[in-house]
Amino acid sequence: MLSESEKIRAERKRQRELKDIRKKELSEATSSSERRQIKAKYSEPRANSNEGRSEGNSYDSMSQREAASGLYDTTVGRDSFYDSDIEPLAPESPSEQVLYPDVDGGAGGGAGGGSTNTFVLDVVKDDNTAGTATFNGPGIN
Amino acid sequence: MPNAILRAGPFATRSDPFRNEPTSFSINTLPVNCANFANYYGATNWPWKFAVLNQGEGQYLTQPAGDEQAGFSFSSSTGFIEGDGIFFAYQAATSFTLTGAYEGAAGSQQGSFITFDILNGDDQSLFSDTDNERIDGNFSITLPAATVPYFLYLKLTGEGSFIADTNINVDLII
Repeated sequence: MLSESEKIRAERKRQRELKDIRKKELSEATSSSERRQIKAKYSEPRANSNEGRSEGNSYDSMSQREAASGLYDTTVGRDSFYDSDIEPLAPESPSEQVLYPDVDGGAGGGAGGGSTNTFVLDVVKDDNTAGTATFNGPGIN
Repeated sequence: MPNAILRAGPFATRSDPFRNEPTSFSINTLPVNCANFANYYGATNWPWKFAVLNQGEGQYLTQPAGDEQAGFSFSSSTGFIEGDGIFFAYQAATSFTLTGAYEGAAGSQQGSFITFDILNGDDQSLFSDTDNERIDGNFSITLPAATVPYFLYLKLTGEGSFIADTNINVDLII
């Protein structure tokens, strides 16, 4: 039988592990949508958690295993974890319209994002002299 | 206000506006110039070029930057000249006036003549001057805008006891 202090230490240890897993998954994400999915996975309300379980939600799977083992008091769960003073890695999105910069510079297809290339073409200007026309854009599609 | 047009060239044939300079001369492959050679960019980055045919010998010449007139003096040792001249193609966003000068002498024997012609790629005459002994004048022709290379042939033809003073000059600054 664990003492109260041992339970608290175990719970803190579990929270640290969860935080590390979330941090690792976020760091391995390659797109903003993937990051949003990870955040959603770790912040789902308990009422909607069935769907997450069926998809192998790591947090829920862990909670189930922990509950089954009887090691921890499962009334102390992820809600307390997210109510803690541990800051998320990035600001939470107020809506789906908030876009995160991707590694490739894209912004979810937004017109304002992405790396640009410069194209210079030789032209004959309207006064019939030689000149150039410079274009900036995402490339030739 | 007309839009700028994409440059073709640097050389072209009547059927292909995007050709590199041929390794050997061909009167059917001509350099493509801007109609107006007036600015620094054109002079330094895309020099004005033309083809010259004289006594059957052809060559491509590049106009030095800063020159306002391109020209060539033709020689004939036989008293006969046919089809010698200056040949080039141009592109222009708007119609313009091409000016220049020409001269030639064919001697005074009966039947001698000397002719200067300007033809386009369809062999339509744009300017012509001919005389029995000597021609000497200036030309001024209005040429159309051309998004694809427009071919021009400035040619001398003559026969006489001698052919001399044969020059064609084209003004490059409109």
